[in-house]
Amino acid sequence: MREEDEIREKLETSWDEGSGLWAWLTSTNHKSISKRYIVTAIVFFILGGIEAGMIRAQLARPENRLIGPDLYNQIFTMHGSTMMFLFAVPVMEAVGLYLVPLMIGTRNVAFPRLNALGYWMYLFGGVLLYIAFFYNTGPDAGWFAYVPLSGPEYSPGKRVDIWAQMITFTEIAALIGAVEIITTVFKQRAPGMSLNRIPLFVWAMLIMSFMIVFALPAIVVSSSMLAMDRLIDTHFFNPAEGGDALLWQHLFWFFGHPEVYIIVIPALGMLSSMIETFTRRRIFGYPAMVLSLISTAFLGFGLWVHHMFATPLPELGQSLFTAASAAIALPTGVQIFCWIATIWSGRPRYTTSFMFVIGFFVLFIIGGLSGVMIASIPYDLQAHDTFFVVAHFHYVLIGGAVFPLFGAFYYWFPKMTGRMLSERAGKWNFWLFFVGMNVTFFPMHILGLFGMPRRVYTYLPEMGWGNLNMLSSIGAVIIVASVCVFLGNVWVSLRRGIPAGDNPWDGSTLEWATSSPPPAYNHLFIPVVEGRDPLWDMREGELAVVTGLRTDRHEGLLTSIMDAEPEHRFEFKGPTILPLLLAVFGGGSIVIAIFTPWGVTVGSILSLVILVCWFWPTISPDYDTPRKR
Amino acid sequence: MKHRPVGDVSTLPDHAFSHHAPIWWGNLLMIFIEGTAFAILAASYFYIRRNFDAWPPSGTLLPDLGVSSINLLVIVISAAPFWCAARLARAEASVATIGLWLTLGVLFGVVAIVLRGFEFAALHTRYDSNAYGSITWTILAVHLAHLLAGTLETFLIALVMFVGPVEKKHYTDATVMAVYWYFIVISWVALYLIVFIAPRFI
Amino acid sequence: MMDVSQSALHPGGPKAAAILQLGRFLWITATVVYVIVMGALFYALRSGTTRPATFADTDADEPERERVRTRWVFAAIAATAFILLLFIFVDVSTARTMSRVGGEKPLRVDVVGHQWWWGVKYPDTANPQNIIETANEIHVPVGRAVFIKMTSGDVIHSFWAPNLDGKKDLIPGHETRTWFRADSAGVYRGQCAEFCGHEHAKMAFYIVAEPRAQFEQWLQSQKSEAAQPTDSLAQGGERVFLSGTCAMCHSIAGTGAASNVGPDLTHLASRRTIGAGTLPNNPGNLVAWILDPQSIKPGVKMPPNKLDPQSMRALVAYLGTLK
Repeated sequence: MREEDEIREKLETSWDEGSGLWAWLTSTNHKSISKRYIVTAIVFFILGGIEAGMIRAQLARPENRLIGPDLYNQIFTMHGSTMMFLFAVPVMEAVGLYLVPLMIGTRNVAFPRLNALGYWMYLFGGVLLYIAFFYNTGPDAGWFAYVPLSGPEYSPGKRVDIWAQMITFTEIAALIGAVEIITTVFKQRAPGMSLNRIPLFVWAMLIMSFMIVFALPAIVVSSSMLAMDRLIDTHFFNPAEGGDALLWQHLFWFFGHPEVYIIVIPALGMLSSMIETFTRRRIFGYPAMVLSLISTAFLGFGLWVHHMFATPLPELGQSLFTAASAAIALPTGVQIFCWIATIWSGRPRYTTSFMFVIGFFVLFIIGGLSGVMIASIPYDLQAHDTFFVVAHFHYVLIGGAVFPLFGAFYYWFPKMTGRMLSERAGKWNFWLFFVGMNVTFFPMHILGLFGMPRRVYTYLPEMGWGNLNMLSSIGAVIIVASVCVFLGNVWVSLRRGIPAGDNPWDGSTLEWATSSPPPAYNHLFIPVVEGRDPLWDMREGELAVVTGLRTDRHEGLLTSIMDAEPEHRFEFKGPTILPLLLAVFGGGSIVIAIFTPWGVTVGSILSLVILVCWFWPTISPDYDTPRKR
Repeated sequence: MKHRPVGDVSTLPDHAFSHHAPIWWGNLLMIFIEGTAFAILAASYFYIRRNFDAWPPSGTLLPDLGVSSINLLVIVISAAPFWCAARLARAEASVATIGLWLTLGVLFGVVAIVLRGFEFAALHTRYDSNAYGSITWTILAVHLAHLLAGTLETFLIALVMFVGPVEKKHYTDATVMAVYWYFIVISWVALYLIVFIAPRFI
Repeated sequence: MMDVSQSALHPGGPKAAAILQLGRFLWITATVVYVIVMGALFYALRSGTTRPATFADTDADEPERERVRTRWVFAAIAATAFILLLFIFVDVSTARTMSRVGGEKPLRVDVVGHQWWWGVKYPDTANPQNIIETANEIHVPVGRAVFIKMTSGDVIHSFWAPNLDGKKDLIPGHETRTWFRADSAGVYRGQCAEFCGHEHAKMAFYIVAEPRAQFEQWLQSQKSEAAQPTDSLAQGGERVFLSGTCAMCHSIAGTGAASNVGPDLTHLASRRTIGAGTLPNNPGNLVAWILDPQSIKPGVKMPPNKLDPQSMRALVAYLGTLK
């Protein structure tokens, strides 16, 4: 025991990043970065929610004069862009970047400085968007920015430029997160964590990351093309010079559809973690679950045309997309059945987390079923771009991503902060959200069939849409109340919550094997995994570990990809200001490019200086003797 | 939590090559991302093709094969010094020799970059002429950005080999650099075929 | 105002009816599936109360339970696959039904989308002089298929009259086609369904389906040029129209006004609404609209016209003669 204390002390010293502003700006610890990532994403969630509230306020009554079209179009564009680019994807990655290293038993992510850069890029992108919005320069061409409406002729001014550059920022951040997660999962798993022992949450994060790698380049390329059309007179989307408006739609949805699965797949991983813990049973059909996630990811790339059924495309081709869209229901179904089988075999504990899990089933399946409906071309031609679709994807995204996320928050908050959230407030949080969600979005199905298109800032009284819209707006108030309860719960629990202990829920995965909140180095020793549920499989309450990693430096253990056999040791980079500087210069060049192409040149040169410092080797004595020339 | 030590890793090596090294994976994923971007540019090229009766658009000359073919040759041959550098790094040979091969790679890179300037002229169109000009210029420019980044990065690693403090892990960096350069070479072969050869057939 | 119908649930023609029927199949199937899955979920939750509390204390008959579960999961997957196949079959057969244009030669109508109104033309292949131009209102004969060719003058719009058919996009640089048939007489409202900028919300149109004779009559009257105003007030209004800013954007056949920036006004008075379905077409609304369209439809391309009351009265009187 004395020996362990000594090691702990040494690790504390070598992993300590200090305190104060400088330490905050230079941190490269995955937990510090993920925590601010999560907090930032929640701030954007609230901002996006406020925008949603304004939309509902405007639409509550016909011919409402509260918000004019100019502001309304900015608001709904901001709402969509915020929720997709600044909340949903970042928050999922952030939770992954926090938990994955803990769950696989490593000390940090593979490229800590790059990770920090990802956060700063994301932050700057979001801040850029909101500064512009507050100066009445918020994008107003929709989160999908269809050309030619978003092009130079029909959207003069800087509004859409801001949008296109915000995309560049956030997509760089998302790609960085994906690279981190894939490399970390491939190379840094605890010894013994072979492929068939990886927790389902980690599988989900891994698969999501691969989807990001192949889907996001499409939006990076297309938003750059849009920016060039707007700023330097290229003609990618200009039909008068051989460009094509539909090219944008193909590229956008080649990213945009996988994006939905990029958001939902991590949530499915969270569900597996929570269901396992709160039924105290292993997930039924682990191999089927993994294969389902993988096939969902593959099929997710074959569906983009189902956003374009109303455009002129060959009909046979369209039918194939119908079939693919229907087919993707199958792997999702497999997962749902396996979870129900798990619940059936176990003894559920109705914690707030588990309530949100049940909420997921009740809501997401509605969204899934209406999703199959709009996979049908004839049906979609009526439902497309109406409130039916708005209802559909809010059931999918709130039911399929936000509910699991709230559940996950109640589940992992104790690990992140060391304190439990109040269960009583949690139940209020759940029931208000559940009721509010249904009151807000269920009527929208009917509104859509009654002919109400999306993205309208007003409607005539004689259309007969007033009552259902009012109902929907009342639902939005209930959701606001729920989120307020949640924020209050976090505020109070952070101060007065019950101390959590290492493993308050009796979870089975490795993040519960260390203290709450975890120390900077995560686990005292690198654990050795002997089964799929390491903490349930422990013999005599003893966690098998390996020893021998250096404690005076940020040393980590690398293992083989398939069987996680220990291979070699390596060093994690420590705190540095360089990622922030690179984000400032690189990001600055992206912003200045909106006004002059020289921004790119100047920014590149400044960034280059930073990169030289970044890559320039720093040798500390006694580690690895410098080579003689 | 009680711990039960089952192994000691202190004797494991502190660097590794190829897929054993995280940086190799980071590099490979970067290649996936950029390769996808190139594939999307290529798809856009053929998509835009459908909007024109003639390709290149009538009034525009076919892109010249002279300077572009010379540059293709330069870029393909440039893989050789990287291959030599990577092989020596793998054998953990003298860092100065590796540095020399990398410097040769940098020289090839510089030549390719200069020739790229003439390749733009060989297209006989401008980025703001029409969609054909936009997509061909963009393909060349995006690949040029890779050439620039790759050449600078190689220069930096060569510099480390000559003057910087060198760790064993810099051997890994040299091999990974070579992999990235192969990607630059291979992607250019494909893009050359699309931009300079395909217009003669489609 | 008038009786408005804009709903996918009240079909006025065969295509919307086929979709509604497909919809009924989907809604019923989905409800049944939903009830079964929820039933399974809550059964699983309830039966859990009798299970051992921790992972370690599994029952002796656990392997048997596992087998039962596996069987159910496989059955559920098979059922899902079967339902999805059925879905694809019903979907494809609906699409087939909808692509069959029956009966006589369809009526051809060309539609051009603009920010934020609909240009409508009735081409006459035999006599190209006889093209009818109108805006925001499409008259069609009951029982005869209407073939619509569409494109856009600026950004992407989507043509959607849910009582008659699903939507079709209008895309600059592309020509899209669709067809529909109204089987019962009535006035069907439609609306742009693809976000197209500021006034996307106020870009509606009407499809007026009328009996054959009535339609032919309408067609004949639309073919004529604008009637010469007879009373002096309207004559004064025509002068206001032609000498002022109106003629810079609008055309009235038979007068010098021939610009096509804004909607054709040759038979304005025969239309039900102004401002693309924004206001009922009556003198009071016309005055308000001409004076300050920006307060009614902010962002609309029509500028305010500060006419003196005298000229305004004359102009509105003139527009009222354009039957």
